[in-house]
Amino acid sequence: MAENVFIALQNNPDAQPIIEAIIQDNEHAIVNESPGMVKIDCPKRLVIKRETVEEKLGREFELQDIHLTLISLSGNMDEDEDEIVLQWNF
Amino acid sequence: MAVKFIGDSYDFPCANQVENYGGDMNLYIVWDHHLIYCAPNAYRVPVNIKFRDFLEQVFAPDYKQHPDAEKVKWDEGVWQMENEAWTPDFDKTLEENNIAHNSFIRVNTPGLEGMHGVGN
Amino acid sequence: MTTKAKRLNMNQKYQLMTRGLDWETTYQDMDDVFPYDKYEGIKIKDWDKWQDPFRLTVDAYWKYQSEKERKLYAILDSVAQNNSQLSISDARYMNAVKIWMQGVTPLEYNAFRGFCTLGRGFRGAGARVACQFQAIDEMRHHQTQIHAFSHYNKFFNGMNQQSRIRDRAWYLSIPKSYFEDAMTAGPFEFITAISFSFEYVLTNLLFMPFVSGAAYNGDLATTTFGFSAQSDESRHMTLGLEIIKFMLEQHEDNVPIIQGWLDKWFWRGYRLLGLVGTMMDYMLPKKVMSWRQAWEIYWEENGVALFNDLARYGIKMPKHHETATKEKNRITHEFWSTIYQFSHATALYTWIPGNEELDWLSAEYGELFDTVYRPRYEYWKELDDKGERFFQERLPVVCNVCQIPIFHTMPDDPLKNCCLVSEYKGTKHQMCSEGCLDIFNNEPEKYCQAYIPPQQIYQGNCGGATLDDYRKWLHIRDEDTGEYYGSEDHQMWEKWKAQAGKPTDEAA
Repeated sequence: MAENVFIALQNNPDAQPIIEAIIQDNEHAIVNESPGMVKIDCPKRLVIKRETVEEKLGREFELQDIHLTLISLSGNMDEDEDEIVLQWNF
Repeated sequence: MAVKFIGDSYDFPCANQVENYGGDMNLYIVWDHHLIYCAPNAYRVPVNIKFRDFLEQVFAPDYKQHPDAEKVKWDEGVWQMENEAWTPDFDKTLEENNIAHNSFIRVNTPGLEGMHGVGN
Repeated sequence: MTTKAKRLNMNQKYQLMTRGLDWETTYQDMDDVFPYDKYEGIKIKDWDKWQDPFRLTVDAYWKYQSEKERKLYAILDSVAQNNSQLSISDARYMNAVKIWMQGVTPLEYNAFRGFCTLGRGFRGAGARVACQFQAIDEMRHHQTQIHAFSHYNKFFNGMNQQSRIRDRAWYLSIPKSYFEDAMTAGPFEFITAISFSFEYVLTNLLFMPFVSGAAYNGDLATTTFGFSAQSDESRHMTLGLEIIKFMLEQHEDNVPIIQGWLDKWFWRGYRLLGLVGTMMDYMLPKKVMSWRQAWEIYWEENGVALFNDLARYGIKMPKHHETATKEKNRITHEFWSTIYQFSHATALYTWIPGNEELDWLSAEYGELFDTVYRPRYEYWKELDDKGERFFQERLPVVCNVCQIPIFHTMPDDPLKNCCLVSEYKGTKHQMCSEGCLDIFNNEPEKYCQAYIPPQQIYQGNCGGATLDDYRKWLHIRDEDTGEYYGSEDHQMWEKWKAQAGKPTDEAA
């Protein structure tokens, strides 16, 4: 059954800490690289945590800054100061 | 379901009505299984041209780059109009054959089913 | 865990900056102030339930958009200064850019117009704020694309008549009619058509594999504006899903109306994207992903997951999705065959793919490609070698809804054209598929007005009856059209390569 959510980010240094944070916080994340772009699939739910991104980045990070590298996403989305969640509710 | 609109009425003429053709009409026709020509062809034609003349002088030459074009015998074709069986009289005019504006005609020619055995 | 909210938190700021911006009118009836947001039958009880999950407010919007623009224009300047047109994989690639420029860029402008209308039309302030941001985004996309392409326009043919051929060229009526259909509907149908069906369900297929393909083919300008625009699109598509959920949650009477729109706009979007698939399969000399594979990932996997999620509201999979999936192994080959034989009436060049590309297509598409399309291309190649390049001289029948020449074949018989008929007001209309036939029959009053290029040519409204007259009316030159090999673009490209000491590419 089709059940993945995904997020796609530009494959550039700004996105790298976000990608690393996603891999660390989402056990079932699958990373697909294609030219210029990284797409991360995850069954049902994917979370991006500000604290983990900040750990990878070594400085403070506002989650809304993801707009600068975001390409696309799929799933019901919710965002607050501390995390972005993508999920299907079925 | 019908279109939803604001106001008292929503009523416009068809952009392709026969009145726009000065006495001529449109005719749409496809020779099945000759898909190197990608789509049915569209013609603006006089209503009183004989069907055979249309086929031989107008339609067939459009398939000139297909090897089947010189072998075709239209009388042996299996014909449809609006996707239903139909028998034309080749020596009558389009009008006399009940071909109307925007009629869609299909012809299948058993034995001539395109190239490569796959209707190309 | 540290807490970050020192000032207003994101949600508080969103509530303050997108709510309470207007008032309940007293001198005028609210229905007279907002005359367009009820007639479609959508019932809204509480507009404040409309939420942007990104909680975007105007201050953040300016901040991020200006940063994106700075990055983009730094790269576009560099593209121009460094002659980056020399870095693309092959000049054939540039025809994909031409299709984008001619066909997609004008859609951005129409999206701008549409969202301006919505930014005034909805009575909920949160909705109006979101639509106004989106209108500005769409204008930005239109402008940045023209800026990016302006560099290529200095060297390559086919990009200098955009506004004229947008309105006149037969193949550009395909994307144009999609947006004009949406813009002439009410605001809720427009937002379903554009924000949900087009952006959420389908633009992933345009902006992700295709733009990634642009990156792979060395097109820095398109990659940069493409991904920059797509970061806006991800905001739009998120909103698109929220809008659908909002309408579905507001009233149960909305469900069947929305289902009807999803059925219609899925099919219209799918038909339109056949063109994008063709760009991916045929116009990218270096391949990233086939249409079939993209369809499987972005529709069969992601699209279906989305509809599974909406099932709890009583929404079903869009009608005729099975047909779309049946066509995944043939649609791009049928489309390329069509553009190939009509390219003398386009501001594009076409060609028969080289052997390596044919092998890639065989591997991606298997038996059907090997038995039907490959021998077709080999036959056309033979004709070309004899100096008889294959062009179709006769106008085709065009679908009265999607406006694509009826090259489509029967769902269960890829060897036979599918052409369906519906009569309205005494005039017969032809459609390419059950999907388009349904759309016509649901609103024949609307589609009977469609401006279908071959019909208009035969009525004498397009400059004359011959192809030459028509080309003149489009303001495209003979040299801008037809076969790639031997074209001005090809000759220039070979000259550049010779200067750089690279081997030449004769007709493959």
